[in-house]
Amino acid sequence: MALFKKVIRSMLEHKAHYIGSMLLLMISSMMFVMASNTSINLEKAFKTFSEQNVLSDAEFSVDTEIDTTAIGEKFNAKVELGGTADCEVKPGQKLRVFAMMNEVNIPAVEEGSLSGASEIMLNRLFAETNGYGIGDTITVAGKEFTVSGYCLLPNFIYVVESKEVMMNDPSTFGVGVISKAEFNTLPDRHYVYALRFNERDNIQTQETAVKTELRSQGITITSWQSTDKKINVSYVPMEVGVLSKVSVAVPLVMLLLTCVLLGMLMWRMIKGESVLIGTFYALGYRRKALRRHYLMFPLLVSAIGAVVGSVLGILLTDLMFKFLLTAFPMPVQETIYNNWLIVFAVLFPITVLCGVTLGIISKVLRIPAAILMKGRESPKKINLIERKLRLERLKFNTKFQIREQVRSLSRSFFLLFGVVVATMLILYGFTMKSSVDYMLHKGIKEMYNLKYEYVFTSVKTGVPPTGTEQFNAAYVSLVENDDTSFYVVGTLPDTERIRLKDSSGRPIKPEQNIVTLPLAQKLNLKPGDRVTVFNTEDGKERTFIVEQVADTYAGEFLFMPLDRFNTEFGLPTNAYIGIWSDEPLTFPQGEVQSTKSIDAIVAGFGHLIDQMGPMIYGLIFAAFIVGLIIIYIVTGLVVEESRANISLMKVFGYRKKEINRLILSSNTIIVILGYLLGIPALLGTVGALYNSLADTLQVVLPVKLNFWYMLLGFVIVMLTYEFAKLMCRKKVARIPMDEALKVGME
Amino acid sequence: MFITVENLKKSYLMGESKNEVLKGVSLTLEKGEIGVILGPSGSGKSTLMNIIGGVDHADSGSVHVDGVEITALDDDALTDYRRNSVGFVFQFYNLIPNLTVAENIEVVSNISKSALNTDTVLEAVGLEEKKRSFPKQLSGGEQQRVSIARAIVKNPKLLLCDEPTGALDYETARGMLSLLQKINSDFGTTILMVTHNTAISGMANKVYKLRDGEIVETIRHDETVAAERIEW
Repeated sequence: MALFKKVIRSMLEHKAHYIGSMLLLMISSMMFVMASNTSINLEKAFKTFSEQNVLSDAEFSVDTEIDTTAIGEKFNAKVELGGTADCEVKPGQKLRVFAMMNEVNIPAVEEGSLSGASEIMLNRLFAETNGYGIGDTITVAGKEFTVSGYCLLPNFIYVVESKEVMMNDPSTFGVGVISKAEFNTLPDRHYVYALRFNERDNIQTQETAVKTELRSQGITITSWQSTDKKINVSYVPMEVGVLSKVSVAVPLVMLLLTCVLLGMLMWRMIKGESVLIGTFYALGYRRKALRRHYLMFPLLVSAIGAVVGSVLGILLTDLMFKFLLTAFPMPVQETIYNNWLIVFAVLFPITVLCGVTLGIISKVLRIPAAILMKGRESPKKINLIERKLRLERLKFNTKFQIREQVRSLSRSFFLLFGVVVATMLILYGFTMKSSVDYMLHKGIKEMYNLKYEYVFTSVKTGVPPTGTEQFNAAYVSLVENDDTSFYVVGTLPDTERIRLKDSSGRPIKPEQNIVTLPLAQKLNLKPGDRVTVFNTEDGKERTFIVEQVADTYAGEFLFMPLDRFNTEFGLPTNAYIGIWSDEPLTFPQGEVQSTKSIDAIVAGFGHLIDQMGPMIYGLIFAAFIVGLIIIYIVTGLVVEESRANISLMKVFGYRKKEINRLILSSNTIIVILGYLLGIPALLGTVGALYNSLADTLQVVLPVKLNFWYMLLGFVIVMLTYEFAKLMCRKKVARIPMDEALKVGME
Repeated sequence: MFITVENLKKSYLMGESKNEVLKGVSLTLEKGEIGVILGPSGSGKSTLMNIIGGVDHADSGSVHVDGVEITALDDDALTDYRRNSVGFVFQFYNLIPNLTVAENIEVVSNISKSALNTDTVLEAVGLEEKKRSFPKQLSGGEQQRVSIARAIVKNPKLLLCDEPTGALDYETARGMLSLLQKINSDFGTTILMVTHNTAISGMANKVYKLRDGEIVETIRHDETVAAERIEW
């Protein structure tokens, strides 16, 4: 019991160190419990929604009606004809109206009731943002509907107009569901078959079999969208995957930091208490008792940190899950918790920390008592780096600071690692923002010199309307991998509507075959390479030679001169499928298949960037706390270890500022180095993350970090460092001069 | 007079009781002289030296060093006084373990206005070959030499030595005292030494015997003994 009191008192004497360790562990356990349980809940909600509401495996369009029953029977699948129509509700406000499905992609009713005649269900966010309550009237495509309820669509969980928009603005875009009978009266409707296999394995193979069957019947597939590549659905499993990765990576890093920190603290404490340990031996204490005594430190730290962290994690899981359900609306499930994960979150850090500490304790306890009692067993050894350093030519202050760093390599490593982690946390949000900013400003805004894109339902010939410019496009898939699709676009060779540039920034015109950078990266293409594709409409194979790569991240395209495109695809030389315009145009019903507003895409990006704000601030705050804990603890350790030196310097007549500069600022080199190493570490990590998400996002994001954000990150890291130093100044000021005078007298 | 201490008093609170360490000490020492304060443990000799060195404050009385009343100085001025005028030699050397010999000396020369060359002082203490060594690689005597080199590198007016031979063996201790005597004659440095070793008093111009916070005897030596001839 007396020894236990010593544990508590020792911990209270060095509160900052132990509280810091507990905080790091708390963050570790909290992140693990929250991320892993949120991931489980999200996965369960998605799985339940997919199964109960029969999420399709693919949606496709064909040039003629097919026998859904025959296809269903042949491939042991459910096939249902549905469709969508993009309808204007108000100027600048679009509603994607879905036909009510009964067998596949069945909508769920979140509130209210299914839509009957002249009724419509809306997604809640659109309805609430634009003031449509249940029972209100909404005019869609010129017809009045009564809002019967709020719906959730399994094949449109993440409500976003297209993959280019990235994030939806609910004031301009939403979804609605009406009965099939009502749907058949809508203009510009687009029929789509939804397909779900009963056999849940090898979906891709089964899809290929269906495509082959349809083509063998002479049916042309005009579009095929596998659900795992449809961003409205695939974002959910992607989020599950990201959360799973986060639930492992972040807590592991924190745990590692805590292990190093606590290991260092224990090593220093046990070394400092060697006389005491020797005395305990002499008093008759056994090794086992002493081991138990010193194990109480990591046990208390890890138990408190892990338990509190896990409890916080449990509390945050529900909040996080509910928050994610607003981004990915799905029927609400009761939040579940995996008890084994929670037990693991508590026991794992305890086991690891106690294990590390046990190793250190055992090493010290092997030293004979007589030697320990002398207290001179572990004089400060001069390590190899210290011996080999030749610093004669440097100024004294620099020499002193370098010596401080190499004196304790574990301490320097801990600080370096901690600053790298803090830097990565700070810059992670900024990198995402820079990447999206780059895509927006150097991609979309730079490439598109137009405001509207209209794609017609059929090819037109002749002269386009005044003030517009014609283009042609074909959606093609790779022959060797039909999951990889992109657009081949034919434009006027001297077009001003599409602005491209090469890697050195020189403008290039689509007078030749030009692929955009994301496509080149995805397919590993360079000038001179050939790419063989087949047209999803006619199924014919074509090979194109890449002549240039355009340095733009605005999408995955292969641009070529319009006349070459038309010749290649067997169309009249003056044929076109769409036009680009700066003014909004109106067309007769049924003439336009799709409309794209560049302003809407830009607004979507703006919305995404706005949404990133809280995430960035949250990450900066977390980084500030982690950085502050680490830097404060390390600076505190430096002060503790340098007590005699500080006291001596005071005796020699050093002024406060001079001591602070020498002792507290000795870590500056490591902090700056940690920041500099953190940048490539972050860019590498984000690059790997983007690559792993590219398939799901259907967009290749550039890994960019704006210089000003880098500078801002540096300022934040240095401010954190200065703040930690400020907190340690009192410690330095409190060290009395007589400490140096009493050295060796105890 | 280079050092004048007048009626110096100092007490410490030990819980609720007051411990009077110095009870009106007075002494004087001429410039360039060696003074030795002799006394048993707890007699107040270290406290006296700390006040003269500007490390501690007196309750009353005054200390003048080279015409400056240091007992009237504020903390900043005392820092300047220690920085420019006083060199310290400690019983346990107080070297910084992760700095080389030369760097330990630079700790002081780094802040001194008129520091001597590091190599010069290392030569003076006979350690020019060890400048790149770390304290741990030196013997006790060598470490004390480094400590002395560090103290004299700023060319101080006053060298305060607290039991400079306390941690050394007999031969090494005599060598150390010789070195101090040499520094005194070569640089004209005034030296005030605290010790409980009465044998050392022979090398001093003035000896102050301190007991229970009071000077009980002051001895003036017109002839001092060379350190090599001191025995104990």
